[in-house]
Amino acid sequence: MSAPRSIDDFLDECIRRADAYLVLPAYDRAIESKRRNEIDAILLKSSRLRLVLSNLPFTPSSVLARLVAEPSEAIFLRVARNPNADAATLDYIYARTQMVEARRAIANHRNATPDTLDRLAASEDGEIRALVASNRNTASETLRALFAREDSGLWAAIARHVHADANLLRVIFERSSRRERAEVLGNSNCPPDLLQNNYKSDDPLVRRKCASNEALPTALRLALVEDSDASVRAEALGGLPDPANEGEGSRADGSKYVRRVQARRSDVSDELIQRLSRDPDAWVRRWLARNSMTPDGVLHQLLLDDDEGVRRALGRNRKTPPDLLTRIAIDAVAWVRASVADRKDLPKSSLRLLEKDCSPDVLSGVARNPTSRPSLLSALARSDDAAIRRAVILNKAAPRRVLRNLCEDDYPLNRAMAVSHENLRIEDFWASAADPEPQVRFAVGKRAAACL
Amino acid sequence: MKILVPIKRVASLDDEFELRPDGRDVDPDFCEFDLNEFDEYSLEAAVQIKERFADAGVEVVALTVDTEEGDDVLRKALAKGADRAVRVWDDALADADQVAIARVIAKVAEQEQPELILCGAQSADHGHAQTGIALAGILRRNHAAVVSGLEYEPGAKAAVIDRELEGGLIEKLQIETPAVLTIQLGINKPRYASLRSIKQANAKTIEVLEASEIGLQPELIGQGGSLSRVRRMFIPERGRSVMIEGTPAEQASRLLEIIREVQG
Repeated sequence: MSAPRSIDDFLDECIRRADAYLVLPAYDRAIESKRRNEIDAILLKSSRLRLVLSNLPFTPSSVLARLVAEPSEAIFLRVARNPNADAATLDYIYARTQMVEARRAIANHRNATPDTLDRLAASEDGEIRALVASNRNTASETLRALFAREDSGLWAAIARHVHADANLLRVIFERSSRRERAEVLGNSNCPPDLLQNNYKSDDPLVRRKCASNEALPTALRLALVEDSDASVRAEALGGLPDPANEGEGSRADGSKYVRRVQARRSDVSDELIQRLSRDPDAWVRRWLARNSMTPDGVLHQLLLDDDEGVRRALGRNRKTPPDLLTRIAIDAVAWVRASVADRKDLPKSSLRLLEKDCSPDVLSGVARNPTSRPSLLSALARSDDAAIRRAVILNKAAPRRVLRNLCEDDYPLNRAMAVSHENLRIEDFWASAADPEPQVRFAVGKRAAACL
Repeated sequence: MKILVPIKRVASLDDEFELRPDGRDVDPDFCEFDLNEFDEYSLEAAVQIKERFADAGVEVVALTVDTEEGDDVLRKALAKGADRAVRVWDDALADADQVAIARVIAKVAEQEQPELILCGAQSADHGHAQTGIALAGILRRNHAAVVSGLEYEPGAKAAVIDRELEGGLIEKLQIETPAVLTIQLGINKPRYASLRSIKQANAKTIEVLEASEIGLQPELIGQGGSLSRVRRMFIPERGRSVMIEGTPAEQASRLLEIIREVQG
């Protein structure tokens, strides 16, 4: 059959095929049509299918809402756990089941409403209350009510909650032990006086939590950059606005963990860069090799590094100059050569060289490279290696005729990705509506609904 | 020359599932069905022999004992290189155990006269690992279990196989054919079926046989021919755990009490 020309044509074809996976991503469009009852019948045709659809992470929220209209505890539980379930559906389930597992799933759900979470906070089930205390949608009043239950096991979660207000944090700080107090100091709503009074604490955990607080004043943060504890220094340095680190100068820290943070900052000084480029820790040199502020001279020096991870990091640095990319492209290690194979700024001569490489990693990079020749992409699309063929699909510049062939790839995931490519028109991929794999038909339905 | 590959449609469970009302199995609504993973390897081993010796006229026959729902796995086998697909079913087989299933396979094998029968080492759902070995016993054929390497040339009187033993040891042995081998995971790399071969497989005919057509007596199939019967399936109650508080002496004292309680 020829490709549908309108959404009504498409829905008619879904009904004719009675294909739940084809129509699933287009259900929002079906709701508006007079075909809705027939589409519903396809999606609800067996209890097994209803269970499967309620579990799929890509089932649209509108379908999940339709599924829970058929009362079933098993469906309620699956939908409550489905990340796509919307707030209204979760409220609907909450009102219709007392099942503890379903209520725990709602308490843990990213779309649960503050009102529902507030009702769940009164639960006798400790796990539900703990999940409410950790849910980002929980309102400050609910957190306050949870705190009032005197369940100290929840205090740490409440203390780190983004909606815990300054007054509540102060009360928790005054009444709790070391761990909860540290969480209070790490919360960006922490009262400033608590930070001021505790950033010099004898306890490294407390100081580290202060250093991790985004709202910590810069003056206090700079003081913690000089802390005796390496983990505190690393945390404080990582949170410094970039570039703002006046006075850091050229001193390389004694801890490799702090030096790793130094190596990825944009305000790192030339002198410190020189020191870090000779650092005994390979990860320091890797971070430096990826740092866009590292000067060309140092990048050239890092090209000679024995650690292949450093040389690969150079290949991923967007500021690495073309002459260096050319040299990386002839590295002895395929994983390093692969780091430049997909770069559109790779000189043509180097790309031609990599086209002849035997490594699947390198060829996958070449296949993703938007400057690769169409004839080469056509050849790579016939590779025996499914990963290389998939890399062609990932190339935004892949030509239609190549992608059309990939819609019939042996590997189902490749077919699902190929039909989703934006360079294809509906007439190019519509034949895949009859693909044996549900995931491919789902992808066809999704693209078709977007095209029509 | 023929290679017979018995295959099974196996169930994998959803995270949450319910049992059938009779409590003897999982409600199939809560199961995802697919070709047994072990059988993917035995099928691939058979197809590789066929392809390696293309001039030898090897025919790979996939066989399953199942309702028509088993056609899906047979079509998958056809798409992956099997030449023929045979399905045997009789309502009396619904309660068949592994030995009763082996009796059915044996009857088909007597008709087909394969040089090799390659079974999966076990099924991924029930995991008895008995069907292949019971089949060899019924047919009185040489057999080897959990085979991790296979060299066989059509027409040869023996196959050379590897078996993995404890301590990383490999046992290489020669086994006279015809023989029944149960194949271990990892012996090869099962192929993906191409889209074209899937479409071709969908157009092929599946041979459907009833138990009576292969000469099986009613008393030998189903529950009557089985040596075991599932009485019930259940999830055992989880063991309780308790945190013992107090000083080391108090904890030791309480621990002793618990041990005495458990010992009765």
